[in-house]
Amino acid sequence: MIKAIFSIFLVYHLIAILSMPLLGSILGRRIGQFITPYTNITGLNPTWEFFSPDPPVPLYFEYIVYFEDDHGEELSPPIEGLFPEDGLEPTNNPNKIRLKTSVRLLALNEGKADTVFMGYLCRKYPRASRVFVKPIVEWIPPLEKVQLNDGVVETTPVTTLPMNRNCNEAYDEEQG
Amino acid sequence: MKNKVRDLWALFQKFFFCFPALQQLALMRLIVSASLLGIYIWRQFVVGFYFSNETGLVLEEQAKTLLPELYQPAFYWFFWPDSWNPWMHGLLLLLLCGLVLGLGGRLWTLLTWILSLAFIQRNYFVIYGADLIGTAWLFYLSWTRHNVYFSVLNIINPERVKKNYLDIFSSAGARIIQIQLCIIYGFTGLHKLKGLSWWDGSALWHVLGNRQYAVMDLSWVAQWPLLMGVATFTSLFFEIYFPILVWNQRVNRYLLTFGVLFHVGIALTMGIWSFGAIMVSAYLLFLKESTLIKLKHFFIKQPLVMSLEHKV
Repeated sequence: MIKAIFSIFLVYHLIAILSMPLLGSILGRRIGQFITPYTNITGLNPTWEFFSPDPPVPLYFEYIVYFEDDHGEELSPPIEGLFPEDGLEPTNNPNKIRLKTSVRLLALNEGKADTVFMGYLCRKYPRASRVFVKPIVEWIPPLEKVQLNDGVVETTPVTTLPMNRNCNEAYDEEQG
Repeated sequence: MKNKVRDLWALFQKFFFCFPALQQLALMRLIVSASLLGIYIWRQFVVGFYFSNETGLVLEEQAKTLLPELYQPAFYWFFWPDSWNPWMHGLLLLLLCGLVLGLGGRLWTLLTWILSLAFIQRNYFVIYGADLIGTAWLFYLSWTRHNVYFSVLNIINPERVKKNYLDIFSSAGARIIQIQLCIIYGFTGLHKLKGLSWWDGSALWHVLGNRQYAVMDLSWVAQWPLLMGVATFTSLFFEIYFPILVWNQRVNRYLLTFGVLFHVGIALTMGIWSFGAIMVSAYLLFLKESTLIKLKHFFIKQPLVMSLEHKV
């Protein structure tokens, strides 16, 4: 009896882990409602997309935290920084590797850099009036271009949509 | 028709319930728990930054909405207040220590898995492959009798190892890990086919040329574009064909050897040793026990008596 019940569970489990990466497909949409309650609770819901569709590009945030009064007068000098704090420096430290993942997730998930990261900066500096964040992407040149350039790798930093946030809850977004 | 169903059921039972892999599971548990312990000891120093409402990156309420709705669980395992996180994380380290030593069994592993998953759910933004796969392995290991071998309890009670009977849960757990590994490789490879750089052979250059991911400046690899192309396609083929070839006894030793080199390469260039160790630990389940004994002799250089008898 135990064997039979466990076998049914095994079949269900197999269907669940096989279907999870296909959740966006017709098949996944049909059976998703039966499997996601289980896979989401057990943490078996990743879609296994490591380094896909393409390897990640180097990415970091440049930020400035301002301390101003209601009239825009500077109360103390602004604080500038990078996130991760060592920018693009290579590392072996597992904690720093985690931050590289987090900056990518923050930048790629719409609105998260604003609500999560900028909110964090406002909490970190309780006296801050506003924060300004600039995501910087560094484009790696194609192999052929490096060849033509005698093996010299010239990366191009590109600033993507900068963001502004008022720390006093009066949310304000500026672009450009 | 009845006979066919009976045959299928017999085949299912043979595959899932008669797979003697207690030694492999024990070794796998040792590698997985030690690897997770390694990266979580580091994480203990930044618990406040990762998992706190006051000084942390992600608020508790935000944590519950970070994932798209489809992937949000009905409940979260972090049922304790954030102020407990340093202690709960410390408890996770202790439980992992116990697993390394082979002290705990199924319940112990289940508790370790819950804590590990709770910290994943508390902040999805600071996780990487090692957390996800390591935690999945903990879940499957909690089905099994993984501490029959390689346990300090065997030093206290040498008779313990003789109780090496195989139950259906241990056998099925080992099989599910094998299948899960195939799913991970297969889908990782297939997803890559959507990317242009994997088709034009430059993907590996974009990994090694990425200053943020490489452990040192590896831009000199651009001198060998052909090598980059070959390596890109080789890793792609390896991932896509792994789920098929690994079941073939004639080729799987070459495939697994390549897999080990593949992960050592990733670890050397990107510094993610724990991820490689956790992935490779599951390879053990594709090795026969006789191969495992040979490997042991090779590494430890001393005769080790290991029973090959299993009562099913």
